[in-house]
Amino acid sequence: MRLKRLLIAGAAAALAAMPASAGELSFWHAYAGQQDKVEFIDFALGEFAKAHPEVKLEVVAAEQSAYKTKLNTAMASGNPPDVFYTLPGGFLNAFVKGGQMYALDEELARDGWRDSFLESAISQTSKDGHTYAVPVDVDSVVFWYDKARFAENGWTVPKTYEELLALAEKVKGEGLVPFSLGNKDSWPATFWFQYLEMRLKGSGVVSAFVNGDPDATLGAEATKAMEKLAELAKQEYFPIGFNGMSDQEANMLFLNGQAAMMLNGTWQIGASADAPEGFELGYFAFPAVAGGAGDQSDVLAGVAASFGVSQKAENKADAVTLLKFLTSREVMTKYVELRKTMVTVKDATTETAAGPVLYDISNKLMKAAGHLDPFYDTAMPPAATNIYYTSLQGVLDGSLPPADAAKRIEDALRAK
Amino acid sequence: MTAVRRWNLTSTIVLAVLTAHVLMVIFPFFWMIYSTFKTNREFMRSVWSLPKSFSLDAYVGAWSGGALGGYAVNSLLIMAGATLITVVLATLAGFALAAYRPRWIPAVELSMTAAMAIPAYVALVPLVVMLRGAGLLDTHLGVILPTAAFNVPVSIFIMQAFFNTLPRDLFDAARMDGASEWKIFLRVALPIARPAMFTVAIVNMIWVWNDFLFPVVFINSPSRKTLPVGLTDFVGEHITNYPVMLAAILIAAIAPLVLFVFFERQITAALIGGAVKG
Repeated sequence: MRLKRLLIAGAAAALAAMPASAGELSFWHAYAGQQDKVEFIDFALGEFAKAHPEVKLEVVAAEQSAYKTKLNTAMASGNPPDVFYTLPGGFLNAFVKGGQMYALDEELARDGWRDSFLESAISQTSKDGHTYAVPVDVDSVVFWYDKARFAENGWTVPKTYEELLALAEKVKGEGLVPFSLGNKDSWPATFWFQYLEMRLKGSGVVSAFVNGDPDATLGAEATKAMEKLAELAKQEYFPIGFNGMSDQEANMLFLNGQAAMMLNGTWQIGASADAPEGFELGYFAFPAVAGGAGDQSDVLAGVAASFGVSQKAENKADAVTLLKFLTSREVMTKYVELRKTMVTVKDATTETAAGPVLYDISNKLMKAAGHLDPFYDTAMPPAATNIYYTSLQGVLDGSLPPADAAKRIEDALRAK
Repeated sequence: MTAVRRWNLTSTIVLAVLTAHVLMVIFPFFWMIYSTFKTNREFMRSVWSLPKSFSLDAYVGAWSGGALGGYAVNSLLIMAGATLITVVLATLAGFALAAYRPRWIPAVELSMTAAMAIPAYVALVPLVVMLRGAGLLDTHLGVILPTAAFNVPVSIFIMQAFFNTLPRDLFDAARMDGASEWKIFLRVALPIARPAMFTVAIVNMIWVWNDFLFPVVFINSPSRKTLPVGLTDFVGEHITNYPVMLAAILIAAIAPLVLFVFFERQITAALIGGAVKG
């Protein structure tokens, strides 16, 4: 009896969930699980409904990590949503390879849509001369510190890597953790390696591999960078058990004053919103490494998210309308205001929306940078990313010699 | 005299150890409860401190923002459906395998063991294709059926192991008295099998209630999300409002808690029984 009722309920539900037909668009995104993300998407979709009442959206939202599983399954089973949120780099390229992404070249060329984006951002969602998604936001990585704390202890912001190490020693002497790091999810430690590689060898190393450049190599500098990283761990400049600690837990150490600095993305601004009174968030650039061949002003900054259209989408015109709306300056400025993250749309990261710290990073640090190097881990194909992550963890816990780690990553990048 | 003294000392030590154990087990729960009365800022400043003031904002935030009640109803529906199907199938199959001992039992057992070895992740894409074909994607039934399918083999093993412990004379005697096979199952086997069925039901309820993968992949509509999936709405990637999240978890724990209070003895027995048989 109960089963029968369930079957009937199931059939009724199935009827209600018919796939989107003409005039309807399915739109999947990962703006869930976080208040600022939800506020943004509610605003954007609310405004879209007002501006385009003729387009009916069937919206599916999932929290970031669940979203990846969900989208990958949908794509693999030939049931892609019409418009969807996707990570750039290796994640997007896998769909491009499978012929599942609609190239937006024609639409971008029209009405100066393409020119509204930063060129460095659009190159991260392009492959072989075609653009397959429109970039949304940009995160850049810097050192974060508590200004009040530094002033109180007479610590000064380091300009060189040697000064950084000297400061770390001083902080450690006070019984505090110099650098907070929670590497459970493997990505936080990548910032250390990438910045050292950028300073020692230069930007664009991994991009060269991804673009199929036959001369691409991490070079002997990768071993050196790994050695420096292993040294930091050996000196106990990171919290105890950092490889098993989450980024959020590491952030708590930083905010409640048990750790002095943190190398992390610009999302740190939002994550510091609930910091204890008296905490004054400041940032400084990754310091110069003496004798490094790279441009010492380079900044690690990459596109964090983008929106694409499925090749199978029946209603591409409406899909593009939605993309254009989402990446309009008004919506993107609101994005900056709510999420305190830089966006890829020119002039949308305004001073009032961004707040002083983010605007300073966007307007000074990023503008003065010789190059912006996108995140290695998202640029690589997913298989190489896994090897990159495990090699770094091995070096940090001392189980993998630096030279071996560098070789493993190089081999993985060559294998593609 | 000395014997009494020693007994006192031993009992004191035992009592002290047990008290410490109870405190260790209870404290996280207690911490969760009092943390929900703090603001996120208070929580960030000190994880352990008691709340400065008594505020129910976290509960208001969890309840209003999350549609937790709807998620709970979905979880209950899916749990009930999948458990019902699994228990019915496992009892029937377990009885048949144990009572008739057909010659091809090893083949059946092998295929079930093989099926159990398939990780759910591998089956995701084919399942989505099949569910879409049947029009069951984004429905409760679309979660219930694959979940039951994955849980049936191990449940059959538990039921079969139970029926194997019953003397066959029991069924033979009923057969002599002219009872049909169906009647033997319903009147003889089923009443004795109730504890084992309870074991299977409880174990399945726990599995289905906690399952994350199938609901997150097969369900699209917010109104059909289950509790574990809905709760991820409270866990941000970089930012988390801890008091609100803890309040949501506490609210979500009410249903299993009620279930546990009512069936405590059976659940404990089921888990111990399952540990030995499974």
